[in-house]
Amino acid sequence: MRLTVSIFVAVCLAVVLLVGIVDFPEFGAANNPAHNEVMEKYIEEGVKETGAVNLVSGMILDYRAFDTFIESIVFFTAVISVFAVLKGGKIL
Amino acid sequence: MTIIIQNVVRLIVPFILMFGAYVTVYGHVSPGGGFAGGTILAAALILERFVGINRKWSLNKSTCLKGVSFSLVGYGILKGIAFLEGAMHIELIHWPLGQPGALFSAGIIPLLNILIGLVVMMAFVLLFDLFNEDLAGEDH
Repeated sequence: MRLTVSIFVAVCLAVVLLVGIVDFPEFGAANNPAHNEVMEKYIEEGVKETGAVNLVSGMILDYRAFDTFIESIVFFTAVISVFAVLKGGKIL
Repeated sequence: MTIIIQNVVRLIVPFILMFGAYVTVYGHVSPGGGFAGGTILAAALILERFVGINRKWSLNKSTCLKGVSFSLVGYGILKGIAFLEGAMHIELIHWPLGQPGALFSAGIIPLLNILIGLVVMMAFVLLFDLFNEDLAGEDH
């Protein structure tokens, strides 16, 4: 019974997700929504605005710095989760 | 571990640490950055723990937890100030962008890179210590 229910739920979820994919724009097409003026602005003015020659660094630590902030909070959360689950909530 | 492995590790760990620091500090000039550099630093420290070397300056768990927390708070404050400056057009602290390509350039990006490197290094070392301690406790 549980197996049947779980297979049914999994198939339903898969169908919903696949239906969502159908409307996606074609991969790599020139007029995709991702290819807009933001990309050109980053490439042309990224070095001038951030001062970093490594554009990836300028991207993740200037334009998207809060994204990186939350990414590093993930490490903190991992550590705290280990304390909470394996150490019974005892910190050190 | 045998004394051969211990001596070899003792010899190469400073060079690995130096390379990790280089990757972190030069993150805005060359490929790399805080995540990659911090992982290299953590790998060096974990290598020492694997072969059973105990150095005086080796990070303990309390220092690691404090380092992770303070680095995250520092990142939030630094970037928060920069964000508010840009959004409200005020010049609270002026961060000069400098000459692109120089070591001291790009405003607060090098500082943020170093803080990210500290977070990644200390979090990995702390996780390794936690699991390592549990395994050692079960053996004896």
